[in-house]
Formats: sequence, C-alpha cells, structure tokens
Amino acid sequence: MSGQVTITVNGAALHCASTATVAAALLDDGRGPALRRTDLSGQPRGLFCGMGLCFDCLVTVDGRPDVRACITNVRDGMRIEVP
Amino acid sequence: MSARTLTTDIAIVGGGPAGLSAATAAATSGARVLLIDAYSQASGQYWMQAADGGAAGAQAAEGRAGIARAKAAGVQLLTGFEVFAAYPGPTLFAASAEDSARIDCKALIVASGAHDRTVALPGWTLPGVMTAGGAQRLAKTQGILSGRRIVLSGSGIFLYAVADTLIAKGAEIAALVEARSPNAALLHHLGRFPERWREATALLRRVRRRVGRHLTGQIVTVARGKDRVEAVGITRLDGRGVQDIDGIDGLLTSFGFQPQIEVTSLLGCEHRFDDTLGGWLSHRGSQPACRPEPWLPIIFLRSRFSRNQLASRPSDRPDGPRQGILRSEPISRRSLIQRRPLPVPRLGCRPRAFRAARLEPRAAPSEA
Repeated sequence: MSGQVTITVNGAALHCASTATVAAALLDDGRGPALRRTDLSGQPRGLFCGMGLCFDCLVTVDGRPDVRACITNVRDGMRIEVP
Repeated sequence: MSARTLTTDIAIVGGGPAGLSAATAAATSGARVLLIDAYSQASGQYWMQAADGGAAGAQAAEGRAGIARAKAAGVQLLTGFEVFAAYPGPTLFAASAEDSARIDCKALIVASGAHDRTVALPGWTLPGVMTAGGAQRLAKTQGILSGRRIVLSGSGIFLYAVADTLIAKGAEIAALVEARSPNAALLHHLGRFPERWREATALLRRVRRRVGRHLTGQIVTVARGKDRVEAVGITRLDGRGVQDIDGIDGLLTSFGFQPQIEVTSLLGCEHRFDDTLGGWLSHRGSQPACRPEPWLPIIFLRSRFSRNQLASRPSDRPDGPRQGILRSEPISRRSLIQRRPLPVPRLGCRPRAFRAARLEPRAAPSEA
C-alpha cells in the first residue's frame, strides 16, 4: 500500500514513500536536520515538537509559505522550497 | 468560501485511546458520532500507527483494534482536520490543508491530549534538539531516526519508552539523563494495573541495560553546535559538578506532559495553572462559556492530566486509558499516598495520582 511518489525540493527531484511527511522525506534525503533559516538572523531551524504544535519546521509547499513539514503528507508532484 | 456542514449527535475532538474509546461507547449506544483528529490517522501517541500501515509493536496492534472497533461501531472519522473555532451550538470549525468543515453537534467531547513539557535552555533551537515525543512520533509513524547518537534528558517513564523505540530502530543512546528516576511510588501505583506494571518494569530493565550512560539527579543545561547539535553540557541538580558529552547528533527532552487546552480555550472554559500537573488545565467543573442552552450536554472526559480533559495522546505510558467515558469523583493525592482504595474508574486512569507519583519528590507511599 506504500507506493513511491516524486516531489521536487528546490527544483530537484526526490523520490519518497507516498506515506511520508514532508519532514520525513527531507530528513531521509540526508540533508541534515535543518529545514529552514530564520528570517532575521539566519539561524538554522529543524523539527522541534514534530507534531504540528511549535511551527518551527515551516517550508514552502507548492508556492504556499509557512507549511508545517512535520504534519504535511507528500503528494506526487509536490513542489517544496527550503532555503 | 463556504465550508461543508457535518451534523452529528456527538462530536469528539481527539482520536487517541480515550477519544476512540468514548466514540465506540457512544456509537454502540446508538448515537451518531463524528471523531475529529488533527493527524492523518487517528490513534494518538500511545496507539500510534505507522504511516505505511507496516508492522509495529503491541501498542500499535492495540491501536489497530481500537480504530477497527470504532469503525465497526459506526463512528465517522474526520482525520487531518484541526479545530480552529468553536461557537454556541456547539458548532466547531475545522480545517485540513485543502478543505474545511463546519460541525454541528448536540454534545461535544474534548479529548485533545497533551504534549511534552520542555524547558528552554541555551542552544535548544539547534536542529537536532527535539522533544522526546516528536522523535518518538517520527520513528513510529515514519520509521525515521532524528539522530544516530542521542542524549535523552528529562524525567518520567516516557523517556524510557522513547529510548526503547529509538534503540530498536538502531540509534545509540549516549546518555539517559534523568532529573528523577521512575521510583517506587510509580511502580506501586502501576501495581494496580498488573499488565501495565509488567510492561513498565520490563521497559525500565531493558532500557537501563542498553543506554550508554544512565545519569540521575542531573539535567542537560546547554546544547552546543554550529548548525546542529553536537554536544551537551550536563549539570548535577545538587550543584556538585558539570560534565559534557560530545559527538552526538540529537538531544531529546521531556519533563512530563502538558495538556493541550486550545479547544477548551476556544470553548471559553476556565483554566488554572498547576505547575505540578504540567501547566494550564481546564478547571474542574467549569462549563464552556459558549454553552447556549442549560440542558445541552457538553462532556469532558477525565484524564491523567486534569480532571476535565482526557488525553487523546496519553503517550507511551504504561497505564493507558481503557474503556469507558466518564467519571466524576476527584482523586486526591492522599488517596494514593495512604493506599485507600480508590473508586474504580471506568476509564482506568488516575491522572493526579500518576503525576504526583512521578513528579513530586516526596510523594512516596506512606505506610501510615
């Protein structure tokens, strides 16, 4: 029941399980735990609560900013932008 | 933009063991029940399911059975929806990433659960520093480790449950740093639930054998690293020394749990702050301010966290809720300490007593 889908991360294709969350897909890609940089001071941020509460894992999905990577499921063709 | 409207007899917010059990009980007795859960599948933390439906442990199997029972009883599941507004009616509004819904109900049950209580410390924003519950969720639902060499810091048996999960997936626990160990009072309390007592003692033994270092009476006070956590500083609570652990890529903290009061806040319930119980709690006996009709029942489940709110995510504690819905008698801390027989809760969980046993330094059972 777990097929594969293809998403893009900053334009590059990434294959992942269809049941993955965006955070899981990014972490599994070996890019390290940072998912974004803060707007003002540019500090790295990653998953903290991992369950949709802290809003520290925000990424841009299909052009929509501030989407929580930890509770958003991937979809085939999804475009993800991370700084 | 208009939301679709769903009408039901009983709406339940939170699809953990408590919410699912309540939903099953209500649906079995003939009510139309709609259960709303914020995640893509119901189950909560204790019954957490792998996203791909893959094999998992006994708790996940219990959860599969619990979900199946609810579905068989006719409970309608609305997953991936977060409640963001509540009005007289009661009427809830909930949204998913692409959709929204208005929910009109005759009665409402809030079983919204709890999340890790964490403490801020220098370096806690570094990637690789997470709540223990977050790492547990990532490992259990996605099969992904947040780190390979991890330090766990905090208090409570949940740390052991997380360590157990991560070790089973191949992580190394460099150190388990406990402010205070699960103690005799906790085990005494769990003695009331033989099955859970066995689960807990086996867990403690298994994990203590397999962690690199087991430090008690100490907490992690600083996380260091450049773009991710690489080291931690650990301080003894008696002030007699500090030490560092280097070469790690994960720090997980959890100092117990705090109830999620978003929904009860939206409903206008009174809340009070109780540090022992983990923060803000809905006040016992308080009724939602939005309740428009005196006869309209709005039901709060009991929880291990507060008297009025039932955890939908009781987490991997070995005394998870059992069957049932409501219980009205309060439990005093004395009743645990003095070993007076407690009234048997249909739900099977004793929040205040549990937390008292776990958090308070002098809550050991007295033989007086």
